[in-house]
Parts: sequence; structure tokens; C-alpha cells
Amino acid sequence: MLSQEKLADLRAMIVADDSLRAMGNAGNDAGIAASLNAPSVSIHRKITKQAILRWAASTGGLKKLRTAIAERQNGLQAASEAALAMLSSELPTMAIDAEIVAMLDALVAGGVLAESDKTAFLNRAAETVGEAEYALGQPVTDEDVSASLAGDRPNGKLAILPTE
Amino acid sequence: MALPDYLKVEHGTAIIWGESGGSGVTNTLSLDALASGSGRMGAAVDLGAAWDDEFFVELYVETGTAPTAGNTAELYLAWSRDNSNWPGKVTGSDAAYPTTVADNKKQLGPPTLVLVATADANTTLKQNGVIVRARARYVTPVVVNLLGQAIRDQGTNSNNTSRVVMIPRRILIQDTA
Repeated sequence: MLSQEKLADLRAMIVADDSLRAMGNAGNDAGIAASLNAPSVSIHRKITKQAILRWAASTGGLKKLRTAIAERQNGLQAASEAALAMLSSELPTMAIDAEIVAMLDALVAGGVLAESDKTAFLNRAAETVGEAEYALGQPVTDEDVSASLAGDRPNGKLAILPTE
Repeated sequence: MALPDYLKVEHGTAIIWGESGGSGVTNTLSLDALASGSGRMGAAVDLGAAWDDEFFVELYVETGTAPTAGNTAELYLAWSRDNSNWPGKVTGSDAAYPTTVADNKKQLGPPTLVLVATADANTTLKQNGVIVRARARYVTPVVVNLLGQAIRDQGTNSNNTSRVVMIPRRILIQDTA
């Protein structure tokens, strides 16, 4: 079961969406949960070692980093070395966070990598999750939906949900 | 004089909880538009100063939107010796079962009957009945909706077919088989 705070967030998501609110008015809590859990939002959460190697093979990304380090052509030697070390690590997966994206942006801005290299990298890290997982950090159940709307249903009976 | 040779069983008069005005309903249990995750408790019944020992109990739930097959609705029977002391926050009157339903229902013990849904819309689902022994003189049902869908929201409440039925099973002693 979601925390009270997340239940309030879930309720806000439901009443803000016409189709979800309509399902809530009809008592179709399972339909709301299914809709919010259906994969619909692309996120970059992590990239596997295998995906990094595939990216390197298709873009020459690792070679570009090595070249930048060897040629000392700009002020990005340190960033290139750090990126190469991270991408070459033995860890099976690497988390994609704001710091990693900023590092890629800096390497693109410095001409070490092309914008298309960065896009290709992130595409290989892309996964599609449900709106609930994207907004609340986890999928929701029928029970979560019911609990989130309990305050809008006097005596446990169906009622028209507000539109705020 | 010859003694009776056979013990038989016969049904007594059914106690039927459902929406007020519904066909056959003797006691109120308003299940119309009961939201998923919510519970409803019925009006208490006085089984009499001397009551039947065994009852056949049935649960009927009318769907609106088809539930996911395998989801459930639970029936609990709450018992009282004096129509005053009730377990699990039951009051003996038809009303919403108080929150938090998932916590309060635990004080009623295991469900008397669990209806397992099929994915049928606008249908009265019927679970096979069970036999219970009366624990005390007063009894009332609590239905908890875990179907993931509301129980059917009828335009006219009395059109609801959701019911809880309790029928006495009485031992009959007689000469003939």
C-alpha cells in the first residue's frame, strides 16, 4: 500500500485526468490502476554493460574518448578520462542520473562526442514505465486506487469525483 | 408405539439481507454502488430466545463493470449475545463499515464466505453456500468489496440483486425415509 502522501498524489493524478476520473466515477478502480501501470513514459534509469559496448561499437564512443585523452586537444581530458573509466567499469549496470547526463552534455559541448552519440547512448538506456511508476516511484494496485479515493466516497458509496 | 426411524434436515424461513425494497429482502444491507475497498454492515437480526443451531449461508453480488476474474468479495458474520456488544466496530445497523476496513475486519475473524469473481458485467455472481453454526442470538453480515470494481450502481436501489441469505437447517425426526 502506498504511503498517505503518495495516496494524495495518486488522487491528484486521477482527478486531473478526464478518463481516469470517469473510471473513478464508475467505481472502476482496477481500470484506473491498469491505465496508470500501462507502459507509457520513457525514462533513462540505468544502462547495462552490454548496452554500453553496443553503443561503443555503433558510435565509436569509447574510441572518441580515448582520442580526446591522448590528443589533449581541449580542456576535457579529465572529463574524458572519468567518462572512459565509468563506461569501462566492470559493473553490470550504470545508473543514469543528472550527473551522467551533465557529463555527456559537457563532452558534446567540447566536441569530444557528437549530439547523436549522446542520443544513441540514452536511447540504449531507455525503458518505458507506467505513469504511476514514473510519478510515484512504483506501480499502483486496485487497493491503492480505492484507498486514494476513499475520502471522495461518502459511506463507501460511489460519488462524482471533483474536477480540481 | 413405534419410535421414529429417521433424522432428516429441512429448511426454515430464510433471512435475506439486501437493499431495502428489494425482492425477498427481510433486513437491510445496502450494497448499491459500494466502492471497491469499502465495506457495508447490515441491520441485525434477532434469531429469537431459542434459535436454530445451523444455517446455510449464501452471498450474491451484482456486478456493474466486469471485475477481474479471481478478485473477491468477503462476507463476515458478526455475532452478539445482547444486540449491544458487537465485535469489529459493528453496530447492528445498516451503515458503512468503518475505516480502516482492512484493520477492523480482522476482529471479525476469518470470512464466513468468500465470493470469487468471474469477469462478468451486470451479473449476479453466486458463490457456493456454506453451513455455519450460530454463535449467539443476534447476527449481522459485513460485506467487504475487494472486486476492484464497485458493486452495481442501480438507478433504482431496490433493483439490486446483491444479497446475503441465511436459511435455518433443522433436524427433523420422522418415521419415513
